[in-house]
Amino acid sequence: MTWLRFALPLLLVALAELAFRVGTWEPVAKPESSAGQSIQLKRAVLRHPAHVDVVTLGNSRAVYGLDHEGLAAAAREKGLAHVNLALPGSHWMSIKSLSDWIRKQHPEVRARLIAVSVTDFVYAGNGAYELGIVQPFRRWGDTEWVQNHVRFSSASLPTYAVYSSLFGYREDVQDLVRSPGGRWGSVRWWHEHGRNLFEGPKVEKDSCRVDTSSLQSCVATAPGSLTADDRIVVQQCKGLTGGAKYRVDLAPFLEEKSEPPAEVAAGRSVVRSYLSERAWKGRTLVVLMPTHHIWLDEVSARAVHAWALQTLAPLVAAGDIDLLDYTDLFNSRGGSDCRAFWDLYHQNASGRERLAALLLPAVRERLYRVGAQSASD
Amino acid sequence: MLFNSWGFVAFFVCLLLVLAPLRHYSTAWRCVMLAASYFFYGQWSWGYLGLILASTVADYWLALRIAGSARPRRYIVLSVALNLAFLGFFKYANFLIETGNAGLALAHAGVRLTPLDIVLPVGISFFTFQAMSYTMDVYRRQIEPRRRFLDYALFIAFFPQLLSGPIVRAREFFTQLDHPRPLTAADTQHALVLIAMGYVKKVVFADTLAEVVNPIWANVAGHDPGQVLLAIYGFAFQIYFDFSGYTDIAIGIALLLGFRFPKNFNYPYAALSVQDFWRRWHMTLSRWLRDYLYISLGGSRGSRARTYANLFVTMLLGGLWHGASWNFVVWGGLHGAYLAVERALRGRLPGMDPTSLPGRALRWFVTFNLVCFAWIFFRSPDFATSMEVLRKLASLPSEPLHWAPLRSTAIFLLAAVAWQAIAYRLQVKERLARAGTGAFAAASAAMVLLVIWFTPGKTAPFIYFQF
Repeated sequence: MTWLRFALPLLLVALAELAFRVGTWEPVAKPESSAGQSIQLKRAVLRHPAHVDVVTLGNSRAVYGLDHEGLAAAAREKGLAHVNLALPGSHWMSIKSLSDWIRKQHPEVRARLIAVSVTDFVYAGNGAYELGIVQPFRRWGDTEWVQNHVRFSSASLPTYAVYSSLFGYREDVQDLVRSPGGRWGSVRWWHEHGRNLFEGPKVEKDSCRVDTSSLQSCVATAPGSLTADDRIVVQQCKGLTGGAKYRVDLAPFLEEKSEPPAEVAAGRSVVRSYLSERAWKGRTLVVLMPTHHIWLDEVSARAVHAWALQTLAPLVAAGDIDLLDYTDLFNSRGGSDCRAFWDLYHQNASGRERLAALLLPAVRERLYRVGAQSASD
Repeated sequence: MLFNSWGFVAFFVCLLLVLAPLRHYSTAWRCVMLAASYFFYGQWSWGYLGLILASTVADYWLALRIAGSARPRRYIVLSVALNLAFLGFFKYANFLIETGNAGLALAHAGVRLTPLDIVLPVGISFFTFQAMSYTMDVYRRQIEPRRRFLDYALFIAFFPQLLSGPIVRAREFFTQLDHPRPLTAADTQHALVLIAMGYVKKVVFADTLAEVVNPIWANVAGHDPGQVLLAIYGFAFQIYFDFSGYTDIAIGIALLLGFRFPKNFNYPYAALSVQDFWRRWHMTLSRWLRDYLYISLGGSRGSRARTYANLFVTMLLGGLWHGASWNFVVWGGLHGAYLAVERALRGRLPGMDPTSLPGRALRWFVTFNLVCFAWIFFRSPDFATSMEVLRKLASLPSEPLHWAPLRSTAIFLLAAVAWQAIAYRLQVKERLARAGTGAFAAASAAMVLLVIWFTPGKTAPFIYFQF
């Protein structure tokens, strides 16, 4: 039985992998981490005894920018349950993964609202951190699909999570060892309170003390006059300056006569295939969230707005999705309305309210109308 | 090719598969092993492979001449000179030029020598020492020279120990080459335990400690004295885990290839004297320095003063062997001075009785801190940094300790110390090597999980590769 002696350690590691894959670690995962937020969401949905009719999916732009309470109330008026499944950091991989998972848990779901920004249409993936978000929702045999979004690289340990859940929870285990006391407190708090599926955070502050008329002016804002919150905005501007130098120009590819770079083409094909898949039987409303002009004019790919619309156009034409475009809602020639944003990414309470005034009637009409089914019905 | 890379894992697994059917064909086995060793070294530099070959051919021929000549002295002198010339050129030429320039500047000579554009060949200190030990053993009639070039070439280039040791004696190597032992299940288990523990030491402890202490060493002036003190202790454990981790992996790999290498570390921070430390730290280098340098200088056969001088010179040269800088000279000199003073004071210090618990505790405390003090010079990138560290240490009593930035580093350091203490007290490595299936499997799986979870994002090359 010599072989057993040397195979057994590998077998035990495989068992540990299996245990992590089926969610054994989930009860102790850090609630604030990427995976932890997904786990809180998963638990909230599993605890939710009633039916789910409409879901909101999206990243932090959706988390802060949508009036989740208003949407839930409007749905309730029609006897429907509209739950907020938006997760900070979500990109197409997690949106699709969560979408599939909720359909399995609640086959009665009849519609989804996907709130994204036009900047989310350039690439299929958004970095290895998304592997953490998707971890609690992963299925057997989805490795190839995950690889379409995050490429495995032997030199990058976070990407090992493409293949292994043990790697997926690496940072979580490290964090637990670093501060075990804090972990138990936060796990207990979340266990007692849980995530509310019908609410979203509201931020009152705005970004008006920082000059966001351009990336350069934002970076150059005198630090003396700034609060800690304002400094975060300046920090964001500084962080974006590097990327701004390497903008892809998508304008030449808008006519679809020439092929864009492979990763951009892959992004377009991923979005189109998700949003047109027949497995999703309900309606899909894509909401393009208000986006700060710095992103559109200086940071993201050139012509990104037109590119997003061009990506979605065939889906709209085929009736696979409905589209509401609020990208420039708070933009004018002079730049973006600082009273609607609390940083370069997110709307504050005022922006959220102004968007809700336009969005709620449209959502009522498209998603809550009794008898409304898929757009192709 | 680093031991802690996927490339090496693939290389080694392929090599084991190729070697397995050749077990009964010794020449073929040796040829494949030599080719693999050259390939391993070539991954770092194919150009410097020529240096190993040149050194191998020269010492092979000189050893034959030493054994066959009526006047062997001239050949051993030639061998030692040749090896020292190799070392001297690649390792010390620029050090001598810089030192010369400093002297010329002091003398206002108006002349400046241009430093040479040399890249230090990886492992040169190790393979030249191994080559020198071979010719000296032949000269001392302790071994017969190898007639077969293939055997000697393999002794020099054998990849598990080529880059950072352990420094293996020719007799130890050739005996095992000539009488290969079948790989037993017990040997395999022992080897796997060593390899797993080596990886844990390297990637979990050493690399994580590197992440926290390297920024402090890079900017000593910008850190609190408390942080600098922690960086000194942190480095003490970082270098131990790094080097002993490497050695464990090397010994484990060699064992899987059928070779038992000598132990290189034996819980050095449990030492109760500096002499004891050197019997536990880099043991094969200590043995080399003792047998080929200290004894050649006269050892302890002369007067007391001569013995102290021999100890000092041996350690000074041992320090210089590590690298060409004044820092290494000071590091070696400090250890030489420690050993000489320790010898002079042996049995004369009250309260340090090694048979009593307080005496042992005091001895341990003094030894550990003396060793850590010397590490300051070993770790500092230059002499100015060493002085800055000393200034920080001097201001330690007067400056308040800011605990917050130290907390996580201190906790990790404590974890590292606890790991060592448990391993030492329970002799974990030795027990696991003999453990039953269940315990071995559980411990091995736990070590694999530790590596998966606690490897930092970036793994660093082994520290001793630079020597």
